[in-house]
Amino acid sequence: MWISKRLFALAIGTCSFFAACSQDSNPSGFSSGSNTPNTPKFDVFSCQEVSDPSASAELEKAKANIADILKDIGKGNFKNAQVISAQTKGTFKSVLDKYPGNCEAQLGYALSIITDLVNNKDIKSFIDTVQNKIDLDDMGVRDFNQLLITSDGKLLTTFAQDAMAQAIPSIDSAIIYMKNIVGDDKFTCNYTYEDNTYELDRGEFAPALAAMFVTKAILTFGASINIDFSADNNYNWLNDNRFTAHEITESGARKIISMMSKESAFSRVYSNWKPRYTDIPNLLDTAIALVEVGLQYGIDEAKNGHATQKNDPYIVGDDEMSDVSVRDFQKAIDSLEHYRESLHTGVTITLPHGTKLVVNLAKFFQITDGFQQYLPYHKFNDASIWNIPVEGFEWSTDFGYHGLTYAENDLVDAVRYQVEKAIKFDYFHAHASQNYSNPEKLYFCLNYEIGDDRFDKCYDLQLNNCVVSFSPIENKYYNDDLVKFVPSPVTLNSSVCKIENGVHLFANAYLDDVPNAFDFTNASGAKTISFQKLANGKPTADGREYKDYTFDDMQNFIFFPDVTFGGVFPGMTTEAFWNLLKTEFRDN
Amino acid sequence: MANTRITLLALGLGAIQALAASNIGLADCGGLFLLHQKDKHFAAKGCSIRDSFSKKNFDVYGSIQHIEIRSRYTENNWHLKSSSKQTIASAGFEVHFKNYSLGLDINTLPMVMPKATFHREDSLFTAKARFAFGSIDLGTISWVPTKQTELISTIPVDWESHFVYSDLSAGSKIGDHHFTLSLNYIRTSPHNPDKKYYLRDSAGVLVLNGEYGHAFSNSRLDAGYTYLDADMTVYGIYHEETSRKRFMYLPAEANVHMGYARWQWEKLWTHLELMHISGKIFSNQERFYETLALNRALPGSVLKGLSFSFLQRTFRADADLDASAIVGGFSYYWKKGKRYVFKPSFELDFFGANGEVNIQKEIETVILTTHQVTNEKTLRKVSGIGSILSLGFELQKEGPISLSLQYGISQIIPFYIDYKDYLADSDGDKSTPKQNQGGGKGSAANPNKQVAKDKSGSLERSASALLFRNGFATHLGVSVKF
Repeated sequence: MWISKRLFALAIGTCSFFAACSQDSNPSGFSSGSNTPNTPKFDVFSCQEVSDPSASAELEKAKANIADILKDIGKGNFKNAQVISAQTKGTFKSVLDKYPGNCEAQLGYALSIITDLVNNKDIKSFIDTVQNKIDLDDMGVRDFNQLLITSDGKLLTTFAQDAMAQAIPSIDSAIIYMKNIVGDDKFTCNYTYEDNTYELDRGEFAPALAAMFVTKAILTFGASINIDFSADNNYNWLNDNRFTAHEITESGARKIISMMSKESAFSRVYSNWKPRYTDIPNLLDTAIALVEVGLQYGIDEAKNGHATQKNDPYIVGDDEMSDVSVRDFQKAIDSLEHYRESLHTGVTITLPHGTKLVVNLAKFFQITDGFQQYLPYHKFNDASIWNIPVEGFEWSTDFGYHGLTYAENDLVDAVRYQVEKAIKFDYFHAHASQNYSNPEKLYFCLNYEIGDDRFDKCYDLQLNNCVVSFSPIENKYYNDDLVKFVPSPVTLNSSVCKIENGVHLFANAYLDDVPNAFDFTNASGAKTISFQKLANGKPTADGREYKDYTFDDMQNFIFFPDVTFGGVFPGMTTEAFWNLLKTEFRDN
Repeated sequence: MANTRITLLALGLGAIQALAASNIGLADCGGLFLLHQKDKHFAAKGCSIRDSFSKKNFDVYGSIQHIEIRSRYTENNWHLKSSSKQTIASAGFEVHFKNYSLGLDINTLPMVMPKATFHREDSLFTAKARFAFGSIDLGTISWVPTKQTELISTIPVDWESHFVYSDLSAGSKIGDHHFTLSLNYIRTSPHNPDKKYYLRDSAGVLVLNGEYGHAFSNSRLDAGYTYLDADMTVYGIYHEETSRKRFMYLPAEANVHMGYARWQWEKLWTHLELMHISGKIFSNQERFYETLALNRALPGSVLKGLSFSFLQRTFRADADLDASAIVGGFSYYWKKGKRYVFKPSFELDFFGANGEVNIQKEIETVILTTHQVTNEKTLRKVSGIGSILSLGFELQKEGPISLSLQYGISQIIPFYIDYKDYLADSDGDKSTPKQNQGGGKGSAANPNKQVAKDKSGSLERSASALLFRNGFATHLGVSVKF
């Protein structure tokens, strides 16, 4: 028993100790996130019996409701949960008013605080908004401004972070009650489900409280990091990118470049959330300690056989009429203690292929100025030249190998641009193809949708000095006579099309038509390899095919400014890092 | 699996029974390749060498037999593989007296079988009693996840059964009429071996058998009926040091009726066989009597520790099996030569079979303090008709030392096989009675409407692809008599 008490004291102690110690060590002028919540403070009394039979009856009814609410939430039936939850919370509160020390009412109230989150104004509104957006998506709406911005102009990401922030004080209140309940190792709560009686005790309360700490950690994590990927509060850059044949459009490239910059606010922790964010390891530490308290309670109970465990959700013991052995729980406690170290110093873990890796999670939560600083050395190209093939391609008569031919992408985007001007569509797709027996014979087909109506049209292509002109093909598709649109001639850029000995040649990627987005560099900024070249592999020994670069090759091109990633992997060296990749991803 | 158990036991006992003839040395090998599909596989093969000799009223015999049975069943994320490898060495003797014989067989299963036979000199009446006890290793059943991780790895479960076998039979020969009645009873009792994962069973199997034979002047008629009644309970146990945890509890019962009639007229044999099997698996609502409680089977780890608080899932299953089969056909052999006899043979059988399994699963999930119970009903139906073509030959050399070489192959040729899975309903919340609305357009769950799952499939169109890899058997034997 002394061990469980010690662990419990440790759990609560570490939580408050680290909370007090944490401070904003790196203030910066970046934007703030949601308002940080105030942690509620109130006292609860140690366990006290209810003597009034009517209050007792109310309690029993309310306890049964809790199970129903959780079931409804589990099924996504929020409307039902919202109604019962409001009543149930009120019932527990009225009993608590009369008997502030009644632990059953405290437990019920703590749980109903959590379930009643569905009734929080902001959370409720968030749930409704998300549902509404899912419906829009189901209806085929592909406008990201409509999907990711609320009707009153709020970004969905901000809305989500506000809702997470709103939930934290409720979790804190529930935690205060639950701490009191876990503190009394004599308190048990009985309830009946499907004619079976179950008894809850510290073995269950401690893990439940641990779950609350983990929830708080997740909500804090979610609310703390800047995840705004809008550009000037809109998602036009995503809309531009919707139907492009290229991997990304110019406006998209600009947004990516700005988000990946070390100066970008994206992925930074909001300045007002930093103290809470850096405290996350302590929340997790408390959670682990509480799970250990729960497991230890089970071990202690097992010393008296089944006497006090008859109705427990699980029975600890060595015989066949028990669920788990003392030894298994002890093993779990030992392992948890081991992993707990990773939240403070570092712990060695073994990866699936045997590599030993030291991980210090505390350091991860100290990275508040964005993760961009840990990216390998690189230099972005200007967005205007991203879609030009520079390396990793060859000239050939092939046209219409989707995913390889840069000229096809240019042609599709040029035609889309023309169609966009003439017709307001909801969906667009086009592709080119080539007659294999007569490579000079090229086709082009497009398809667009307006609402539920689909339109298709194909064209013969004529090439003259890299100028592509279109002549409609009749009756290739059902109803294609409805489409009268004929694209104007398109001039293919010299970067993707050229004439040699009177034959048209096109730029075809070796492996993948990726954008020429950036170059990897060494620490002094000198280019080592372009991303476009790296993604297109190197020729095989006979020169007939191309194969991916290996980790051995990459080791010579890719350099990280800090291979310990801010101390998350203490002691990591460049050599060990590449060895880890080679060992753990050898199949790839 | 119960079938495998009985098969193995029968093979073990058969290894001894088949040796009653004297002065014979025999070596043979056989293989059965019943199924080879993406999600199911079953194959068995075996070889044996037997030798016996008689001197005066004393017979001694010995044999070595090797049997391998493998099967695999694949679900979405896991496989269930079973493999059984047995090498059984047997030895026995029998002493014949005027009206009775006494004998003892032992083998390395291990098993010991004393036996006694009483008979009148005129063979009007014979009575036989046999008794055996021992144990048999029924192989290993492995649960193998498709993606192996450190958290959940392969779980191999060993199965060893401890049995007591008794057999009483009585026969009579009145004129050209032969009658035999026999009663077998096998009882297995649970044992806890020193293994990490194991199955133990407690079973009772009763077999009643009646046979009648009549020898006409140039033909012979045989008919028989067998009734089998089995009930068994299988427990799955996870064992570590002093702790034993029950993760599986499977009570089952089965009834089998089999009847046959065979008629042999010179070189032509005909036969007709009928079989009906019905079986049940029962669920039990008591705690620790769940059909499957996976949390208890997890190896000691943080995951196991956390699972009892955060996610417990148990399954209770009821299942009904009902299947019938009919097989009928004829065989003919030719006999060529005198000193060296060449006997080619041909057999053509037709079969029809159908069966269905009705499974009701109750899945209980406990997360912290919340319980959720869902019910899932599935119905699996299989039916098929087809033929079994067997070709074989025997090469015999008669003389003071007679030699015989036999080879045969059999192939199931299905005309039509249909296999379907029906998913009745899945979202059956126990606390809310199901209401079966008509279910308009787009209504996903209508519990009354049974929807065939993807797994269903008729195999009729790909019958040619099934040949050789599905339902193929072969046998090679050599015997020496002197």
